[in-house]
Amino acid sequence: MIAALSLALALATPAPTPSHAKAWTPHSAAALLDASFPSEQVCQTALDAAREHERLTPSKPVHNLSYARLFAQARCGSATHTNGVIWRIRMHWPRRP
Amino acid sequence: MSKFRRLLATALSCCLFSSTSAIAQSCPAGGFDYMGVPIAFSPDHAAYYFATDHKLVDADGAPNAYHPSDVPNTCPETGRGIDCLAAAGYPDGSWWQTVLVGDPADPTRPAIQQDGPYKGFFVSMTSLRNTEFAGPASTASYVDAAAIPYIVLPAPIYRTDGMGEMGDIGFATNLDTGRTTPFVIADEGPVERLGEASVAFWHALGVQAPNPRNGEGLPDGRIAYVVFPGSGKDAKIGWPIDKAALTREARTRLDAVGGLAALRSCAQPTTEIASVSAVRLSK
Repeated sequence: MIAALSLALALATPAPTPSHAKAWTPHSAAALLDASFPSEQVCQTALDAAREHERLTPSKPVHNLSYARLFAQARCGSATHTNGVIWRIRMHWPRRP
Repeated sequence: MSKFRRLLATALSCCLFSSTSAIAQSCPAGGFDYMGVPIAFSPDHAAYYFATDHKLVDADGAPNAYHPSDVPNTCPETGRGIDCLAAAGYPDGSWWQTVLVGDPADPTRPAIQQDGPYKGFFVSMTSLRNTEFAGPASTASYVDAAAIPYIVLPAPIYRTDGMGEMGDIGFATNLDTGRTTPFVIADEGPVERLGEASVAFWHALGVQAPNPRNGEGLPDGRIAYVVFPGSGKDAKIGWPIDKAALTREARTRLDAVGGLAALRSCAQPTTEIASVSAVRLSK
């Protein structure tokens, strides 16, 4: 449901850039992961801003997962949608051998 | 521990090691860890396994999940809704619009059911939905947490390639009791641990429906899960979701990967199974 709302926002308006004024929370970080962006650059800018905010003011980790580590696993990737190509954050976790 | 019990423990752990090692040969070795939970993929990535004892109840999608007369932003033990408004983030959370249908006349507040057995309740949504079925303001367009066993994927897992889409199915078993349930992926959670699921899911793995407000009634035990990514494309489970069809489709896929024995073995390391059994016998 978070995803549907984010996608609707992305298609209806300029890409949402989540606010970084507050500490990251489980829900605000999820909203960032669910956001859709019109270009790779906008996606990367949002991701860089998230990392920078966390570097400057670390938020409370979730079950030992820090937001710094969470965002470190994130990459921007494209996806095809009925209205064209959109960009989203995708997670790439380090694989066990 | 008595001599007899020690002998029994030794015998059982030998059996466990030999039987699970046979299965373990076909169990996946690769994967990744998420918040301390190892996730293992089958070689063709048609299935992945994990086990956890973390449990959280989701009431979203139940027509009686949330009621406007309950106290906002708090979570008392009782109320009219089976879950508290704080769980929906209403009114001050940033996410209530992802949980409750907005009122078309005033999107700054949630819509209220105008008829039916739960007239007066809010309309609670799930990520898995079929708004063509009854329209976005109908509870019938969402998955009823009290009736359908579903799991919630944390956002960081849902946003990882190969972890499944809404509507994909799987199977779970309570490793302590042997109870089982099929499930569908029907909701997305925030950044959280694996182990959030619907009221019906926990009811199937325990003895009663848990209280979403405080988790009372959640089953004891460690739960093993297998998810079949991509299965939603061809699993015929209907809408509203037919539990019998869900069971049939999930069972077929479970059998194809080795059944319950494979699920029990592949969801957790062999050594962990053996040590858990030994601990139980020593009690």
